[in-house]
Amino acid sequence: MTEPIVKVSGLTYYYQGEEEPALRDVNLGVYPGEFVLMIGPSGCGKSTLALCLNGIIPTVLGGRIKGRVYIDGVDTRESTVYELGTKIGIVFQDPDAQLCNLYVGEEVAFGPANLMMDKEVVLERVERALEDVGENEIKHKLIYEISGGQKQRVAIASILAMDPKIIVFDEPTANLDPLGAVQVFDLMKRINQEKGITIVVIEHNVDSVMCHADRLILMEKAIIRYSGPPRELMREKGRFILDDLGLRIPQVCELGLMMEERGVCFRPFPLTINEAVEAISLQRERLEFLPEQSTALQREKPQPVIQTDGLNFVYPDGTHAVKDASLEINKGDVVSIVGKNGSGKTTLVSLFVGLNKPTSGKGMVCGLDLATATIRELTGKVGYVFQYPEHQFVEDTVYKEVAFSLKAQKRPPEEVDARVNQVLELLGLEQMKDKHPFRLSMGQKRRLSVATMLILNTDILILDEPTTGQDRKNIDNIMEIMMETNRTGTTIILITHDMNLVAKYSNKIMIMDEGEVVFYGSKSDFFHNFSTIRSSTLVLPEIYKLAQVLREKRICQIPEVSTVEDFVSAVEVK
Amino acid sequence: MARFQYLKGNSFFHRMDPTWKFVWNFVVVGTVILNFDLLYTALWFVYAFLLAVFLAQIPIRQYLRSILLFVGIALFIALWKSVYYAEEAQVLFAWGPINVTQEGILEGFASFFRVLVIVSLSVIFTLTTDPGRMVESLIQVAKVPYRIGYTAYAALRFIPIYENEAQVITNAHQIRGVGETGKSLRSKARLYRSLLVPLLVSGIRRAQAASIAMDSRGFGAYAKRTIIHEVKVSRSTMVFVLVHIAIGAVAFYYYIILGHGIQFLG
Repeated sequence: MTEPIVKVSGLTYYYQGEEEPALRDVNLGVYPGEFVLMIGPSGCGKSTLALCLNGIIPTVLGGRIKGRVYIDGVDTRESTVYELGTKIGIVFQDPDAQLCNLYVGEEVAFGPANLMMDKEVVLERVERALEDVGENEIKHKLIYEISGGQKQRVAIASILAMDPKIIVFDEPTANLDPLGAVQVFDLMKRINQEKGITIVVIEHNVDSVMCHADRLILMEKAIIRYSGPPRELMREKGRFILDDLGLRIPQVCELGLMMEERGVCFRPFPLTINEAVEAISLQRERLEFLPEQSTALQREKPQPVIQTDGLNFVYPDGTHAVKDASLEINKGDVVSIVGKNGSGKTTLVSLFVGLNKPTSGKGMVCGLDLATATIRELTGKVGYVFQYPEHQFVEDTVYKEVAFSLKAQKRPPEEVDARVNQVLELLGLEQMKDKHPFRLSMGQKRRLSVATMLILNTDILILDEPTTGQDRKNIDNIMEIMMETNRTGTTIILITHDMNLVAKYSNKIMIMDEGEVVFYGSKSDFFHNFSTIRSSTLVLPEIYKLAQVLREKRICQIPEVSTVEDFVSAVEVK
Repeated sequence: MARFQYLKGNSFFHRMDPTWKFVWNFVVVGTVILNFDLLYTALWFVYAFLLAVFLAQIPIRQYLRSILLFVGIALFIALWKSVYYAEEAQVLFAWGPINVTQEGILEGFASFFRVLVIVSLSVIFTLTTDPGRMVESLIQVAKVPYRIGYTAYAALRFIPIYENEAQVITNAHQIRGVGETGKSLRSKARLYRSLLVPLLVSGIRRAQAASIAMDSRGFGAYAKRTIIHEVKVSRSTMVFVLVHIAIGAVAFYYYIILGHGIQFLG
């Protein structure tokens, strides 16, 4: 057996000024060429462990540390960060924060140049690293001109240029659209296989990376809870990961677990769509698929709340962000707006709340004309929850934050107090009343930002990327509250990249591409017509693809399903 | 913002090494303020204008747009001085308590041109200097330690990101109804105050992430780093700057040592 290339023994770490350890007696060995996936709830210590591996902890960040970390035989405490930089590199979540140069070429040259390598060597490494990530042609571009996915690939190239043996990825896809994420995962696998580089990935969004991993590590509350082959861990601990930790697992794994609970054991336990297809065909005789049920709910006559006709918006710099949008959103709809970053989604909804005035075209929101209505009038009808909760906070306690808008409306104090308490309770924030909004956890901040809009009882609620930086438990929690308000007649507009979320909650789907609405219709229409929709970024939910393959291969006649629950309820076990 | 942003181009000033260009700027400003004479400063202004249009190839419209705000300020100074002059002066005409003096007008308009020369030089500098090249030049020509130079560089990269974020936060706050009356100074102040905290929080977080990312790629490992683009100072740049230094020296000798210049009075 070879020696581990990463060896962590008895590692305990306290951040400066913290009473609770961020890591508690962590032991870990990663072998050369391994692909390790690390998951765990927010704040469990995953990112801290990553920073320990390349020596940033404790060399740069300080704090109290016990135990040892060896990278390729070198003790991180007896080495320097830059020496370790040639052995281990980290790719971080925010592509904007980790790139510090103006041009792509310089960025990739940054590391080798810091290490005083000869100019020729540096240039050759830049060339090679960009080649490896397939971004050679953007070498002379400015970093702020390129897309998020490209930035992340440039970040990877800039690490590759250091020629490391290990690369750690700390939530590398959190800011990317679905296709960008899949591309980054594929690139990781390629680097791992072709160059033999050891990979450690920390991720929430595991659907397309689980199948690449040789080993899965589960962290919880500053310790490594489980470590083992993904297949076994998913089968044995999947329920625990899903229900108790509130994390995501791939949809096919979820399906495997649910079928197992109904007495059908898939063997081998599937991690990919192909494996699931195989497992299902082996169990074919025991499964019966119910014909498609007509789920068309008899709704009352649609009442449009948003109507637009040829709506256009052009930014002062000439960017034509919304092109000729004509659409109708009805009362009680849950509309998902999907499209790659920069396709005009956020600009379109900014017109609905009056942040921008349409350049041309007509639009009515709850009887208000978009061309003339003020922000104040529109926000009386439309609540808008921004992508990053911090952006919306204006007060210094949670209570005041929620009360802010009601007070601005000069409502009587008793009424304000009653409403605020009611909303805080609904969102489970009543204990946090006097805390500063910025001191809440990620999940709590998200809930607070929803609370500040919920209290206004608006007819329409817009959520911009509600899943950013959230684990599944938080997302489910928020979405349940949204669905609750939807049942009382509130129209919900979701801007999201998360196709699983789209499939689970929305009844209408809108696809935007380069400012144009290229598709708008019901969920079933969307999945029917998927192949004809012009958009370069869509990635279908795994479970939908699975059903599609099963139908195409004529293994079974399963109706179109877009959630795991739908799949399971369409199956009868004999 | 676009008023003072680098304009791509290939003029004489675009090609000039930024450090030398900075020295040139400094020398010319120093020379202009040696003498407080209307004709002297006006001539320098005409010279600066010609340089901007011909040697820096700044489109006239862009140039006017850039200096417009300062023309207003300079005009205000000029008029102010024409009316209020501290020393004994010859009154041209009086209107109530206001005395328009000859000395006041002369000195006022000398200040007017002085301000415009300084603004024109700054406009030439900022519009023809690529920030990236400036940092390279500071490190290689001015021998600023690269750790300091690079910090400036990183800051440059973050400017568009922060601008964008500030816009998003302002929008988010408008939705909440902060500063919605818009016009009154109080609500404006409120809008800016509430903008500051989230911007600082994300700024600090991003700066920390950036410094960790830079450290992990060996930033600051050695006192020097490999130079990829070598900065070369052309001979014409040197001659151009040295000629101006010589003019400055002559002016200094004539106006200050020999005392022929008009000094600032009040």
